[in-house]
Amino acid sequence: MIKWLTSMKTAVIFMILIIIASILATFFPELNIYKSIWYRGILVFFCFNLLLCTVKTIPRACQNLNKSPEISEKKPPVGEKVKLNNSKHTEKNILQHLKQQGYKLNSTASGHDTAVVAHKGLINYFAPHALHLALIIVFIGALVSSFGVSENIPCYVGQSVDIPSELIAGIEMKVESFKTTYDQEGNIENWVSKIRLLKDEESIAHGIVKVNHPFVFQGVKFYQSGYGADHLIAIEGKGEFSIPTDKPVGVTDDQGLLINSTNNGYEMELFDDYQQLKRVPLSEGQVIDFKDTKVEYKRTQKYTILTVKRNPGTAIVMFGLACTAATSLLFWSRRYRRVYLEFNHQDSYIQYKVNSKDEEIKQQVKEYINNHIKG
Amino acid sequence: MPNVQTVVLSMSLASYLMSFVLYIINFFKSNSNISLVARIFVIIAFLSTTAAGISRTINVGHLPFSNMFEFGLCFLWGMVLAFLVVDFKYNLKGLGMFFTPVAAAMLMWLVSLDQSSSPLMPALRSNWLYIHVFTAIIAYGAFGVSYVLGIMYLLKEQGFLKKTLPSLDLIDTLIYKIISFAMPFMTLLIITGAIWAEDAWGNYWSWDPKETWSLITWLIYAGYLHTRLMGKWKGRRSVIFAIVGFLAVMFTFVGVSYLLPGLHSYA
Repeated sequence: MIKWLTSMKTAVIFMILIIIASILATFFPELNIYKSIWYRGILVFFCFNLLLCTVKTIPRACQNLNKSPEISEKKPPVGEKVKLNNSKHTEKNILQHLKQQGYKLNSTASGHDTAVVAHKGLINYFAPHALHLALIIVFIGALVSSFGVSENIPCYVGQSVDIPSELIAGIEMKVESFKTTYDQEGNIENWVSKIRLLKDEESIAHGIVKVNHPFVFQGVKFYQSGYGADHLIAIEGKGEFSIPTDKPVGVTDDQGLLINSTNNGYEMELFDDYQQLKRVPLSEGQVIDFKDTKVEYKRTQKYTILTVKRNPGTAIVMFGLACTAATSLLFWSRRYRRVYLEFNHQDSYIQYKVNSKDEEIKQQVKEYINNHIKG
Repeated sequence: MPNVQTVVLSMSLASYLMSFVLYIINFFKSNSNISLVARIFVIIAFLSTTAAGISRTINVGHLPFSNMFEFGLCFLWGMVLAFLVVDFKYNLKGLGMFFTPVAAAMLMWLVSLDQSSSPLMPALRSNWLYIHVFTAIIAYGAFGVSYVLGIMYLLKEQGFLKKTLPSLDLIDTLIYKIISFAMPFMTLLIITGAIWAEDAWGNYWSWDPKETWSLITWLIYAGYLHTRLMGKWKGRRSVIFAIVGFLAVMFTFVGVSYLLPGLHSYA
């Protein structure tokens, strides 16, 4: 089981499963695949596979780098074998040159033999492991995120609401103002809420919340997520009512009204027996005759909706993402290559092998060693 | 200003078509002068696309990233830039002949789209937009070239223009190099999107169709790299992986916008 979970094949199988499941999820959102146990199960197993692969490979990778080379007499000879005129001179030359080229050398001497392992491109060598670790941090953050709390809180301008205690205990949020800002061309630039946090009616913090600029207080973030307006009207003989925009309201059995937003503000549409009687632009305090009754438009009650979130997982995810970004750039560093050289000074020959995942580099290094051998 | 855009895009299209013809001639009658002129036409097309982007920026008052036409123009720009880099570095015979019709077809499709400009919605008014889209342009552009190389590989493998196209090994290696270069950009694309979404919507990941499809694309290319580097997959299987990756890129860009509206439905 452990072997299966730590194999690259398993990782690819999980990737394919995630791909197929995600494709289905985008085409059939009604199936709620992302929230299904089996989808989450695949993700969890994939993370587990990634974790185990990383735990397994990092120590091995470090060992490979620090391990002293073994003389191949004990093992079958490796790589290409070339006869030399002066093995000591060639050894000195090649090793000096490799060092100048930035290779890290590990050598072992035994009798007439010297074995050397030369590495270069160590950043590139560790890049996949570092990236996997960074992704694990993201996954851990995502797991912690699932315990986060988030609430949409609507609040009228000028009024206060209690922030749910699971977000911050004993704090009230007062919306001091809400406005839509426009750019020079007259296009909507942003929606801006000015808020104040109160504890026991004392102000403890204040700030501005707008799209792309959340306000942060003690780890709790406030996001601008929506807005709207209700309208306070008084109907003669019936009292005061708060009416949402664009929602028809009955005044009597046959009569009704609707408040719409227009480019210049709001207007009221009055209906009698499903027929539109008139359309009136609104201003505060205006009284409108409506058949046998009167309707007074008292005021607009603007409200803003803020998403308030406390999620300790987000910081971990952000840290993981920053690490992922940094480690993904490591892949552009110089490609890793490993050269194994064995000099036999008694029979004067060299045996060598070049390892690199890039064939071009492999050929270049081989060519360069051959040039040195030829002198 | 829209007229300037029409003129430069027409010039760009004409240049792609001209270079296509020249690349075909050069392919069958190897001549360094024809190859040079073909390349010059691609450069003219690239500069024209750049000019279209600049004219659009002046016209709409922001970088052209706000709708499908605008991002498509940048995508094409990135693809041609990637092609020019590969062409200058490797001078691969046949690549121009396969690439230029793809670029011309993409431009024709872009021209057929609604080109009207729209103001940037508040969520898009962030510096993250520039970083996010820049990474997309580079990643998608490079993947586009790897796709064209993949098609060349499969055609050659099937015996089409067997003697004149570059060796299968070379094409395969080049696809790998391009994908290795572009993959960190693809990673950054997703990361910058997540960080930005956290700031704008309070949620770094919403399983929005575009987000999900970019994750699918990333996983496909990650699978390509893993199978190639660890599983020693090379040649046909590996190339098919790369082609499927680009089809996912195209679906993320076009398919999602038309078929799966979500938070990114403006682009």
